[in-house]
Amino acid sequence: MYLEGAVTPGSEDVCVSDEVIELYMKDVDFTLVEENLKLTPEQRLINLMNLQRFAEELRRAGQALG
Amino acid sequence: MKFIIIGGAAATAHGSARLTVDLDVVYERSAENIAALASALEHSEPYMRGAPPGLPFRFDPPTIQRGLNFTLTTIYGALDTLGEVTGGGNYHDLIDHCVELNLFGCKCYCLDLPTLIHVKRAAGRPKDIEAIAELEGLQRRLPKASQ
Repeated sequence: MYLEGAVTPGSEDVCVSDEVIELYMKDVDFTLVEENLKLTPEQRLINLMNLQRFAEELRRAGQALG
Repeated sequence: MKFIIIGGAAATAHGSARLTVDLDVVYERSAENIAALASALEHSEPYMRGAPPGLPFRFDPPTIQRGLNFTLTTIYGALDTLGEVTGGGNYHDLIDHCVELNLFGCKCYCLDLPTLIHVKRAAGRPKDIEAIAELEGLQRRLPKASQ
């Protein structure tokens, strides 16, 4: 068991194989991650909130098109 | 109030570049903390996400005591308040696997990167596979001490 006291049924099951993760990792754009690592955690969360607002605006604009 | 940031927002705090639209927190289930949680959200219009409008739902201490995990809408956005999380357990199980962050003038606990990966792996949701791949790659780019 990884975390002593973890109580949720099935918590010891690790369902995603390393091979699958390695395959997916090839398609991750880590340049974005490396840019984020230059920021503080607070700056990263501020960027996320800005991106959420932008995504919401895009959603609204899309709905307005019908 | 005692809570731990987990999920996508925790991933962002660690450096993930993925967009998440909700905030997941694990809260501590003492009566005192449940009262603090209810009070903190009192003016945020919390309501059960996905439920039909107009149900007599109050996010108050008795409701929180009777339930465990709540997926909510609020006027600030989607908020998941979790008493337990698959693969991680409750607040007390997770608190030793956190980093302390200073966010917006407050000290907050955020699940550390190895535990965040473990919890996402344990959840076993197909939608998390890309997120896990990014977090694993992120972990390899960090010095051990900063995780």
